[in-house]
Amino acid sequence: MLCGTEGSSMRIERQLLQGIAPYAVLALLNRKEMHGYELIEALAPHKDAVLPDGEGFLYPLLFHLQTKKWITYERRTASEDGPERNYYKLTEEGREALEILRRRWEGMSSVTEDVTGRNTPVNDTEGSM
Amino acid sequence: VSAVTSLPNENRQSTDIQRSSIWQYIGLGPGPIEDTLRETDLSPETQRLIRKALGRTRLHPAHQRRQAVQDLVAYFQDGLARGRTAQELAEAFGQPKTVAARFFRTADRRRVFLLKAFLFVLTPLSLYELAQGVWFAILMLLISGGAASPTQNYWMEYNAPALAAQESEKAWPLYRAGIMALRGTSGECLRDEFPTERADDSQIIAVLRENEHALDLLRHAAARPHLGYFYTPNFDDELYAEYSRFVGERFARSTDETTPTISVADNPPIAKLDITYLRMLRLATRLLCHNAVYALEQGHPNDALSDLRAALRTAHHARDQFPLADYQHWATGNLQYVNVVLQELLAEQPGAFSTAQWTELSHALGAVSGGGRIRADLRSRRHAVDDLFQRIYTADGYPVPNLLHAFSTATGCSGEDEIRRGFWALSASAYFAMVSPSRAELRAIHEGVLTRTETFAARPLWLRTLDSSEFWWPDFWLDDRQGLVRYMPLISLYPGSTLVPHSLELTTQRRDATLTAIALELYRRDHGDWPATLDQLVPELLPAVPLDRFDGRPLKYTLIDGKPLLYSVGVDRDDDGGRLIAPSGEPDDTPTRRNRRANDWVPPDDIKAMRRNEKEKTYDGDWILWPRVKDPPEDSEQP
Repeated sequence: MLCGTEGSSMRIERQLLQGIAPYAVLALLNRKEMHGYELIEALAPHKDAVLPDGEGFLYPLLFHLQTKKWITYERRTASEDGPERNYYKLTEEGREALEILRRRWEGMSSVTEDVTGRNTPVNDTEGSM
Repeated sequence: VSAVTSLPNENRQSTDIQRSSIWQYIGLGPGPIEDTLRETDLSPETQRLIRKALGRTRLHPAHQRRQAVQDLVAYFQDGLARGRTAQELAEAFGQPKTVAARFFRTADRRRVFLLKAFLFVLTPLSLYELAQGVWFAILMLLISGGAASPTQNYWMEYNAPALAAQESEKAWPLYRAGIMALRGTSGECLRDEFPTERADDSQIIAVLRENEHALDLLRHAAARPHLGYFYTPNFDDELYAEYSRFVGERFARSTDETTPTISVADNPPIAKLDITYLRMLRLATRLLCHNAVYALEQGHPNDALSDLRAALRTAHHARDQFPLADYQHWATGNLQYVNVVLQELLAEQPGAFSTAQWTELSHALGAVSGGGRIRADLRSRRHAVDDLFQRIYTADGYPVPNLLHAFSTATGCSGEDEIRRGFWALSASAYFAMVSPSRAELRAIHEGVLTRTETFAARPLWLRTLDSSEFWWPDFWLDDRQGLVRYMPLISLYPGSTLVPHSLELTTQRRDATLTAIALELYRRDHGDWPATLDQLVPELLPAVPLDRFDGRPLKYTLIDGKPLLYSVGVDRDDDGGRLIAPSGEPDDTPTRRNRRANDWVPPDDIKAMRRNEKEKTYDGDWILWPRVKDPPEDSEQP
């Protein structure tokens, strides 16, 4: 059990990451229809950031997005002799949601960079000294 | 180009729902998870992991669970296909319980809520109905085993006297002919009590004049030795129609063309015994009594005597038929009516009859129903319950499955069709059948109750105390709510017979008072004055001084202002010298009502308790028997 500063920071991180996962999934589905394992493969480079608790957590997330009517699915086969899979795709509402999320993340990034000083001109900093 | 084979999403979902049974839909069947896993080649460990991940997701309805399991199966299948091991996939999957918890949190709340609401209503109802069905089936299994097969035919037994009598000795055919011969529609005036409340004399006289033929038939009927009424389960519509027309009374009972004719040989329930004859005899008695009074007014005492004798014969006939317990006080009503007429004549016009005629009337009055004390005969009460038992119990002593229907048929109560049908009726029947005691137990209880009732009735009024050991309602009927259900067949039959023993004691007392009043009149004629005591009437005019039914001592007699007064100590069992109960102050507490209150049934212990309470004056007074107490005319009453 985590406690103290380390535990608190992990909780914050998790909350942040919970916001990243839907954004990432929506962004991927915005490119093309994908089934579950394709999404996992696409998210694999960022697995620790998007699915830190395990790959299995993608599926409740897909359910969640589906209940919000941001995505929908269709069961079909990829090829004539291939297995049936649930292919997820973005809905129009999902596209709008993705746009909103994108703006928020960009805003959040901007704030983060401002606060951490990464966006501040070097001269000003030096001048204040 | 991939060949895509797909179904529209909505169609797929609806097909899934159709494929799922309602039990799967509400989560009570194996469901799509097991169906899908059964078709895969995943290892048992992987399948266990998937089950765990979907174990407590509360995903509803079935297509959501199907989608989830398809995705998880595909995850492992695709992972394995890409060269990952099952172990690696399981580790990468994460904690299955946590995944399940995430599923639970992310499921469609709105849909689940509606579904929950639906299930909240439907599931309990379904389960309740199911439980009812199972309960009923169990009861049916437990109690089925045969139908009732009544063997004792009480109708044949009760009709035996009528069948044995010769046609020329039967009075009923002539009584019936007399009622059918009634003309006019003014008989309503005969419904009033005689004579204080009777209608206008001229109206009665018109009725009598119009119906001389009918009266003649009634006199001939009264002269016959046996009533000879044949109990039939079929309503005599024709007779009732004529009777109703004449007296202006409407009766709810009526058969129609669809009512099947029932034969006595069919062994109908005893509850369907019809007492038509009592109603008709009452009318006959009243007609004859009024005609007697009219004959006296016309100066024809012989005709009056003839009619009064006939009226007393109708009273005899009313008690001639097998005594139906519940109607015995009704049957003695005829006797009471003649009694009142004789008391009036003795008080108002004692000279109307000669000594020989009064003597003859005295003998006729004393001979009704064999003379002596008029006793309650409760045999038919026993028969009624035995008859009920043989219709609601099988031969081996268990309640019949459809007990309510059997009970309603056996007791002749209405609503049989409603009771016969319906799941709830059958369930209720099964329930009653289940909780009902065995026939042996019920019979034992009934015998105990009836014996106590008969013991009570057999005692003269002054020896009746009605403590708990004599009380005819067992305590458990009153105190125990379950007892009310368990002993419903008995309870439903009892209230009718409770007042009969008391009512008959009162009739005995009134008749004895009239016999004594006749003896007093005859004594006065012989001696020129009233006797000082009733002992002076014995043995020439009375075989013995009648007893006061309330204290068991000789009937009370006194002279007030030189006029005789016969009375009983009444319900307070205390001789007040012939004083009527004092007015209570209530506007309708008339003298006749106070005198009627004096013969109420109140146990002696209760009276003693009242006496200790000096304020209690409800019963403080005597029961005046002769001359009759009368209310003053309305316009002379005190405001």
